[in-house]
Amino acid sequence: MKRKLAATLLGITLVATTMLTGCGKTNESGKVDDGKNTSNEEVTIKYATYSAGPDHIKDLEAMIDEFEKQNENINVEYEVIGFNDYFTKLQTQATSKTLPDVFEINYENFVTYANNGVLKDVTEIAKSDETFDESVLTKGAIDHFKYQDKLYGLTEKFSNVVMYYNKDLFDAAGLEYPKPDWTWKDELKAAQALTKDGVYGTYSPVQYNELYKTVAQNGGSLFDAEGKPTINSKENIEAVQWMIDKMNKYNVQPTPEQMSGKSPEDMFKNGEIAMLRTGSWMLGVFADAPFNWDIALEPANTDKVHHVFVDGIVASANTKHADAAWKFIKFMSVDPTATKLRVESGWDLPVVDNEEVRESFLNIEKPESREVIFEALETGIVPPTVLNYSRVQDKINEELSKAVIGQVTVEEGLNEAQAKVEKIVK
Amino acid sequence: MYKSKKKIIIAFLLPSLLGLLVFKVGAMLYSLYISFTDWNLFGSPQLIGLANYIEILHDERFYLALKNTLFFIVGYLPLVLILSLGLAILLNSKIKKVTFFRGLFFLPVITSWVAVSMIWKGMLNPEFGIVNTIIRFFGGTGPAWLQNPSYVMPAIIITTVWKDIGFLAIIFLGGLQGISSSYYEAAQIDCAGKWQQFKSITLPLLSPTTFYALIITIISSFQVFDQIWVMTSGEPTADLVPVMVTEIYKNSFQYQQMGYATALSWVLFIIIILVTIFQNVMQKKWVHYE
Amino acid sequence: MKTKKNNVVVYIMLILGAIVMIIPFVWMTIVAFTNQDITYNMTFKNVINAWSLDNFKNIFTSYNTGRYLFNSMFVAIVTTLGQILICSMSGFVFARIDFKHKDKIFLLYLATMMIPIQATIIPQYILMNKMNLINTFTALVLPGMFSAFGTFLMRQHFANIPKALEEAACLDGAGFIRVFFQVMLPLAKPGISVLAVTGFMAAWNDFLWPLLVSSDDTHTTLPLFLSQLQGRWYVNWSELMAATLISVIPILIVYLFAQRYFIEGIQNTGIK
Repeated sequence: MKRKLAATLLGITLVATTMLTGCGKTNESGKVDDGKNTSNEEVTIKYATYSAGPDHIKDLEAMIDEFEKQNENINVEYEVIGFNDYFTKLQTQATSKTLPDVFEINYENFVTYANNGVLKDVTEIAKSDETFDESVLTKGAIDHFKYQDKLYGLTEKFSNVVMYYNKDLFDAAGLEYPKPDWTWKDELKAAQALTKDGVYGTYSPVQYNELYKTVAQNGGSLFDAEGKPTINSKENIEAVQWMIDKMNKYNVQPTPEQMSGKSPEDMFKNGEIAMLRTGSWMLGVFADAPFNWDIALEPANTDKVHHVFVDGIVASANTKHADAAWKFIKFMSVDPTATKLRVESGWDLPVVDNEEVRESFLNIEKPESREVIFEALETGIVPPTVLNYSRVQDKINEELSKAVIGQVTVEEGLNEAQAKVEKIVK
Repeated sequence: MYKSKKKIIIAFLLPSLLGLLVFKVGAMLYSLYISFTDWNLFGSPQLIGLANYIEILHDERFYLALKNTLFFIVGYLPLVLILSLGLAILLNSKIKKVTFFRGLFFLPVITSWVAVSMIWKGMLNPEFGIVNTIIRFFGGTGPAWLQNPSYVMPAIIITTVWKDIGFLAIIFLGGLQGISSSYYEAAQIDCAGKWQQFKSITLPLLSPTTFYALIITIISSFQVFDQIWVMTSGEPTADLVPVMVTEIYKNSFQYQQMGYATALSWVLFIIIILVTIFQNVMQKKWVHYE
Repeated sequence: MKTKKNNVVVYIMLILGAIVMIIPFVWMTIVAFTNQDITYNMTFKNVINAWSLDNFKNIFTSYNTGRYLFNSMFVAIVTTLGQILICSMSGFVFARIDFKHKDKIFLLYLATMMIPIQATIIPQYILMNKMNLINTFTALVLPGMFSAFGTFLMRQHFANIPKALEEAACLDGAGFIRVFFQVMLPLAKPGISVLAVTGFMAAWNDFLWPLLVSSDDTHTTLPLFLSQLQGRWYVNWSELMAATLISVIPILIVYLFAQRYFIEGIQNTGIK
């Protein structure tokens, strides 16, 4: 009786465990699409996206409708996942090879996925596609989703970070609006004049994402050309010191205590921050702000540099419909209807470099200096390509946070970050 | 008392046990296996023996996370159990509109941390927040709750108590309502005072429920995660106050270090099980079953 | 007279406590019925002026919220019913029947609560995938029914019922099943009510599992939708608060219902 019970329990657990450790075969039968499917059978592809929610679901549906019109035998089923949880889910799907046929991915994560062989190499499909012309993409865009010379997808869209400023506040203080050649010193002068009566002159977060750009504006860099960390270089230390001094020394930027829970974007819209570095995605949100505002290139120190964030669409290695997947990737990236819709709905910008796109973007009324978005591209940098990007980011943010609250000096923090990142990157 | 014990066990226990084995125990054993491997979730796990566990022993972040978790438990547990028992007693009174109050106290429980975090962040604002304003009213100076690493845990404890008190109160309420009123009637005839009644009737007869509340609160406190994650997001303290599960989450879903993450989980598991066994043994001393 | 004074004290404490509980909700409701900018200028006049149902209208028209509500309802109700049945049955066995290794098996139950879900969820997913149940309601509902928390809870409640009642029923010649369904379950109503509420809540608010297991609108639950509303760069708080309010109401109803239905008449159990 005793043995029987134990044996039964053990048996059941073993069964469950063997199922997990892969002794079973998956039930999927069916033809494998080797990418050269020329017949017109109905094909359904699954597409996962984070950027369509919450505001652009209807735009995505419109694009999909157009795509399905152009490709009558292809059906697209989409799934919107919140960005914060997107990669949790994708990771799990990658583990059991159930990734969607096509999915959005940002530049930072692309390298990891490509490196681990879960993406479909579409180089050949792209080459043999006569309707695809690389030159419609902006310079360098095709390389974003290449890894070790193989193409895995196309850039869908980009967004970048510029400086927004509250014209009314500038007027009230009798200041000139920010000029393209402004340096950090000019910014400080203006910020000092603007900080009063509950208003802060300027704001930029002290965080990894802001960091790699700000150090570049001072001629520094987080990694060198070989990918080795150079976090505690002199230029970097100066740059971080500047980021922190704005809060703690010059008091022209609100400290985290002073913000406690409020987002800088909300504060800008409420007139509490005069100059704000934030992304092109805020253009629509600020449209109904109760004051006059405009955008300008970011003030830098030695080098003008701007953030560019790039999202692409890739295909999974286990897709059975590589051909259809490629068609969708191509459509979302370069199709004129899709790009037009994207610009009009303010869903970031396509990487297609033609007059039409520029025109429709510039034609939107607010703000006046929209061309700044395109100008910033010229000095844009993408995030550093590093394999364990999430860990590196966390380790650096840890030290930055300590420096912000004064637990360590900037130099100590960056030295510590250098040591930690060296261990990770090895 | 019952004949055909075997049939009862099979019919009544087996569904639950089977489900548990299939869905939980199997997964647990698999995760134990993974803890002895190096796995980035993409390829196949590579066996590396005890390397993960050894790394844990040398990881200063692990010790920090453990320390913070224990701090949370020690601060949170007594506070929430006592306050929710008190609340349950209040909610058990035969006053009018008690259902209305029961519903009110339940509101925080059923709302997600994301929703309440924004308002709590505002309430904990060092300058304008309600909490510090009240402290100032009494002549003190409130700290920078979420921006100062030393005060983050106290802030989390306070907000978690606020959020969970209604939940535990329901559990205690269920226990209180299971106590037959005949006991109290008999006590009143004996002229026993309220406090005496509480000590000799309520507490002992409530003890199975108290034991339940204690165990599940300990188990879930060791696994505290959501509130830390959400309340410190965007603050400089975001990466500075780790607890066990934030590290497990980061390692499994962000750093792709599944082996290390499962090893951490099993270390946590061993700790929790030791504490629970201890409680289980101790229950003979104070838990009173009919 | 003593009762009246006591009642006043009780009222005062409850009201003070309630105020503390409710402040965030007042704020949430205001934001849900107005807009985000109001948070900076929350004066009475502004609030009245900005009051509108726009956020709610938007939630239901721009998104498939009706479907998500239904999915969450379905999953929560089925899971809860399953839990009530399965956990009361197993809780009863642990409370009343002695068998070899009972303590060890019970410890196994407790043990499954002690491993963080992050460690077991990927294996669980892999298992579901092998059973071809990804993106089905079965996958959403099944794991939750076998809750160890639930069994534990019911065990505590059953253990506290005086044995005398069962013995009386048995002497009356009632078979085991009758004793269980006609005597024990009714006596355990407070326990079941708690189980119903906690089980419903857990299933309703569950996030990580539905995130991994559902791949389309037909299976998406409310928490996933709430997460979607938090944009990558920017959160539309007023929409999020409106959606949160919508997701809070069903649980509240279940709770109040459980309170009323299960609790009435319980005070009078005695040894008859």
